[in-house]
Amino acid sequence: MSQDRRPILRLLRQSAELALFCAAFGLAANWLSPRGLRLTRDYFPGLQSPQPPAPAAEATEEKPPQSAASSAQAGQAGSIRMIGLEEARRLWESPEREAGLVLFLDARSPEEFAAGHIPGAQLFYHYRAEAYLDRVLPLCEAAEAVVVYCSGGACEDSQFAAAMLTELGVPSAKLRIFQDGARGWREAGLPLEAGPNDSAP
Amino acid sequence: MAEALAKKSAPGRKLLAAARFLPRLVAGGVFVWFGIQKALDPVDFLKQIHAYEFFPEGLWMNWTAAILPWAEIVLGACLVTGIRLRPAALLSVALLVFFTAAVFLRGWALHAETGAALCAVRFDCGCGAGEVWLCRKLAENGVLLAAALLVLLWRGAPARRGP
Repeated sequence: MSQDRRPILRLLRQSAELALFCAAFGLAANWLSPRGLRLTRDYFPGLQSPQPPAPAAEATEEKPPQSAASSAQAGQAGSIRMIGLEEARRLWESPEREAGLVLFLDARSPEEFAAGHIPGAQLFYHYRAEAYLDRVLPLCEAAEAVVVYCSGGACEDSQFAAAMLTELGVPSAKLRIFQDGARGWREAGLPLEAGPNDSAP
Repeated sequence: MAEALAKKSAPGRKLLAAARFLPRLVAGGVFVWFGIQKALDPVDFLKQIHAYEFFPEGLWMNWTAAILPWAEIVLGACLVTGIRLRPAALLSVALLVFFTAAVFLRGWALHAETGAALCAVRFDCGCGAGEVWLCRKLAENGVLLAAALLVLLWRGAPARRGP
């Protein structure tokens, strides 16, 4: 009986050793890899419940983007407003966008961004935030409204990106989450721009 | 019978060696390939783990997404080269059982949510192969599991090297 158990125990011990080796190797490789993850970072920061989009009638009114102060009055402090296609389009067409007062941020991956993004949008892939923050934070500071979007539908990356921006000091009242995302924009027949993230807003 | 065949002739031995190497090559090759796919884009793998909503939130996801791709590469390499073969096979079996259960549960949740037939459920399982059909993925995992079990349970002459 004991003879039968020994090989099993040896196998289990060797398996445990191999598992430990795999873990150590994985940690070392992750640390050395330029694509490695940061083990202590929260990649999925929570948000307070976003506010629903404004009614269409209100959203389609021709008006400049709300200032941070007036937006703050409109909703709960700390929460971020969701907007629909009409309001996103109005903000995109507004002259304030040309002046840098309205900023569109694309929270999708660089590959998705390059394949087609809302014209003038800046890439902010929050999973690799350090590569974008130097460029994005000053733009957010200068803007009065920052519209964050991802693919649309069940995509949550715009919410994670917006949550990260609020943690970094961007007032939540400035932020909007465009819930239809790139898919909704494209399906509405609105223009998309292809290419990497090298265009000024 | 296989041992008897091997004892009889040199071609028999070669055939047996090839038969023993095949499951190692299949399971090991797939582990290495999918491990590389995940290691090349650990962020995407992390997002896919997060999409399994029945897993609890936490930093364990970062650790898993960081370590697991490289662990798969190591285990796959062990299976192919024959180094630490049976421990690698045992760990591979454990991982495959866990992966298969997780994929099935997520597929089942999507099936319940969308009302689609179980085999018509398609999603990115985070396995390194992009979007997959649930039934096909389960069948693939079944083949891999059988291969890893074969390596684990087929005792006999040392199978350190390939044919």
